[in-house]
Amino acid sequence: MTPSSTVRDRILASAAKQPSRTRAQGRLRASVAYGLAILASILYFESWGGISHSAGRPKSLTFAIAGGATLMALGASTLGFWRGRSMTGRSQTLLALGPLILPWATLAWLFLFHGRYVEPFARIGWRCAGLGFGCGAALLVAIVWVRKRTLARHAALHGAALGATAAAWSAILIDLWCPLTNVPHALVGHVAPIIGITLLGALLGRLVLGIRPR
Amino acid sequence: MGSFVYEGEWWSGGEGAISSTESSGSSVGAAASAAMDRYANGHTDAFAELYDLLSDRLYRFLMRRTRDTGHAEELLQQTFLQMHCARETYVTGGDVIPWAFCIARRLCVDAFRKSGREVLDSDGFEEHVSPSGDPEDLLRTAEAARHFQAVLELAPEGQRVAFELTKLDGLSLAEAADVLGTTVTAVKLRVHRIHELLREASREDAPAASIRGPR
Repeated sequence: MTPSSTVRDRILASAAKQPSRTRAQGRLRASVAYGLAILASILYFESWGGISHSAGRPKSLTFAIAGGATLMALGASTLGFWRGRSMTGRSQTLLALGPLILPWATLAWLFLFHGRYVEPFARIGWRCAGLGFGCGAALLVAIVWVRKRTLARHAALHGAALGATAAAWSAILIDLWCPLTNVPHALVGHVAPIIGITLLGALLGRLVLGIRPR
Repeated sequence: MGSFVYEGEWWSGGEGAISSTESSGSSVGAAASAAMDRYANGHTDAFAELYDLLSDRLYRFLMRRTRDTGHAEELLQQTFLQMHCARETYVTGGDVIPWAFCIARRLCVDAFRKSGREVLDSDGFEEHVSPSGDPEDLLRTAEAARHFQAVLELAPEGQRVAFELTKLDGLSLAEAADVLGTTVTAVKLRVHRIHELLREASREDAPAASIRGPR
C-alpha cells in the first residue's frame, strides 16, 4: 500500500513553497527571543528598585534564598524546557512534576528562612506578585513564541511545564527583590505568580503550541 | 467463521497465511533520522529522501485510520509539511520515526474531531496476508482477519494503537512508547492485553483450535 505517484511531487512542491527555518536560523531566532525576554525581565526588575529593595535582609540570606530558587529553576527547566533527544517531548508524568511541585517547594524553601532575621516591613505581597507575573510572562511568551505549532501531543501540559519553568526563573528575581519570607506573604507574592504563570502556560500551550493543519 | 489459531505473538488463519509484520526497520529509522538531521541543517534535497523512507509506513498507518485514499494522502501531506515547518526544532541525534507517527496520529485525531466522526482501523490485517493461493485458505484467512479486526475495535484506543504501532507499523517498543508518550513497560502491557483479548476471542470462536500462550 503506497501513496499515489502524484502525492510525492505535490508534497515536495508544497514544502518548497512554504518557507521554514533551518536549525541555525532557529537557534538564532530563539537566542534573540530569549535574550530580549531576559533583558525585559531584568529591566522590569531594576525599574522596581532591583536588589536594593531587599536591603533590610542580610545579603547572605538573600543570596542563599536566590541560590535555592536557582536550583529549583534548573530542575523545572530540566523537566519542562529541555527535551533530551526525544522529538516528542517528555512523558506526561515528568511534565506534570514541575507545575505540581514548584509552588510548594518554593513555599517550603522560603519558610526555612522565616524567623532567621527581623523582617523590615509587612506587606500582603501584591507588588511581589506583580513583579513575578511580569517577569514570568515575558519569559513564557518568548518560549511559547519560539515553540509555537511544534508539539504533537500534550500541548496544554507542555505549556504548563514551560509556564512553571518561566515562573521558576522569575522567582529568582522576586527572591532578590523581596525581603519577606512569612507564609501569608509568600503565598500571595511568591507562590500565586508561579501558579498564575503555570496556568497561563497551559492556556497558551493549548492555543498556540499544538500543531495545526497548514 | 473459519477456524484460526492464535499463537500468542501473532495469529494465523490456516497454514501460515499471515506473514509477520516488517521488522522495526532500525536501518530505515537511522537513515530517516540522518536525512532529517541533514534537512534541519539546510540540505534541501534530504527532504525527498526522507519522504521516500517514511511515506509508505505513514501512509499505511493513515489508511488504516481513515479508510479513504484522498483523506490519507491529505493527512500524509500535512504530516510532511509539519515536519518541514518544524525542522528547526529537530534535535541532533533524535529519532524521526516516533515524531512522524506522533504528528500523523495527532492530525488524524484533529481531523476526526473536526468532522465529528471516528473511523476505527480497518484492513489492517488483510494487508499482512500472504495468500497461499488456496481459495479455502484465503477465505479462512480473510474471515479470521475480519474477526480479529472486530475484536480489536472493541479494545480501548490506547491498547489498540500500541498493538498497531508495534505489530502492524513495525515500530519498536521504545518508538511506540515515544509516540504514545508512555513507558516501554506500559506499551508491553497494552500489547499483552490485546494478545489476551485475541486469545480469548480465538478460544470462544474456535474451541477446537490449538491455542498457545504468549511467547
